[in-house]
Amino acid sequence: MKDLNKDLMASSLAPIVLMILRGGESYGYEIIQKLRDKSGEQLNVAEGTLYPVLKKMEAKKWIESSWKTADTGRERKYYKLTSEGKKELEEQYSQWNFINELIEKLWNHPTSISRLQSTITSF
Amino acid sequence: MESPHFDLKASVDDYILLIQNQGALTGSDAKELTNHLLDATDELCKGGLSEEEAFIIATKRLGNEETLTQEYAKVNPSLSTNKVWSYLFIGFNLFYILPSIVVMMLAGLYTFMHVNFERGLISIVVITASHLLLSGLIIFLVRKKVSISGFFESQVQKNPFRIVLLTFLPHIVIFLLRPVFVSKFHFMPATFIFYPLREFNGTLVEFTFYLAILSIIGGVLALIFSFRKPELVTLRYLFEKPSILSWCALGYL
Repeated sequence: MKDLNKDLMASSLAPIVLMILRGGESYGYEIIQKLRDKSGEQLNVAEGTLYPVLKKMEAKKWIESSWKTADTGRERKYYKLTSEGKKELEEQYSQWNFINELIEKLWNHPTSISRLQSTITSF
Repeated sequence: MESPHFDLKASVDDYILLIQNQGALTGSDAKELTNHLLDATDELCKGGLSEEEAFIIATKRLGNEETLTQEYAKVNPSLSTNKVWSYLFIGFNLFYILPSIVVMMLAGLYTFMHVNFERGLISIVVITASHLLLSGLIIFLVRKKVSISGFFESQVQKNPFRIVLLTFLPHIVIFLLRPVFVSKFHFMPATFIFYPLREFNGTLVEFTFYLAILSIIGGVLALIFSFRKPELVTLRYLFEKPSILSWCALGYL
């Protein structure tokens, strides 16, 4: 189980949910299931905190919701991506990619500061 | 271990109500969380767990009351602004009007009994019984406090203006009745309230009178604080995470 930093989790949950909803409309519990599935049961997130995230995204009109009754008679609130949400997802995806590449570069080439210091001491 | 009478639906409802009592959830949020818990419990049961075990794991995964309240409060800001004002007004109306009605009814009863039966046995029995009835009513209201606050929440959510106006209506009734009362009994109802102690000086009347007063005080305390978790009965808690009924009580103050 991975306990992600709270801030990191908070900022990445929205694009992750948008990506899950890209595959079609879904309800809270199903979204959590998919999230757990894709992360190989590794992601440890308080499930209830997904719903405030969904509400926030709905207020921003990225997604829209409607109540539907399942075969079992249980009512479920289904969420669906809007066209605005699709645009937002593309935008966030490119931003995350950018950050991802930056992190990758910095991790693999820990250059500047140490090289600079060695240059200074060689003088 | 499975306890013999585990009721899944009731346990789920209780758990969600506990969170809802913190005042950050709308009715629709509560419904969504309830169905999430039921779905999660079903799924875990399929894996071979008992309903009770599945419920415990599902609630743990859902997150605790504090985290959820915090997160929901961020997305339901209207609850902490507009709605708070509605609750304050409703609280003022209710807490002002209910005691007035009770005092008026008691004062009416005392005088009626005194005029018709004086200090006879019938007076003592009827007045003692009405005191006991009042205490019982207060205990009943306290037990129903969750449904009462749920009712006000749903009303405020639907139409805050209407419910504030509706709770104001009894003020007008009292305002119209007061002069009738004064002209008939030559007293304000409030000064009548110690009538039984002066006029019907029986131990039973006195005892049940104080019992009724005690249950009123207890009732008000129970409305504001949650007694399910005694460690939360602190002033700090009251101001940090006021429940709907706390707002109502503050409105009266």
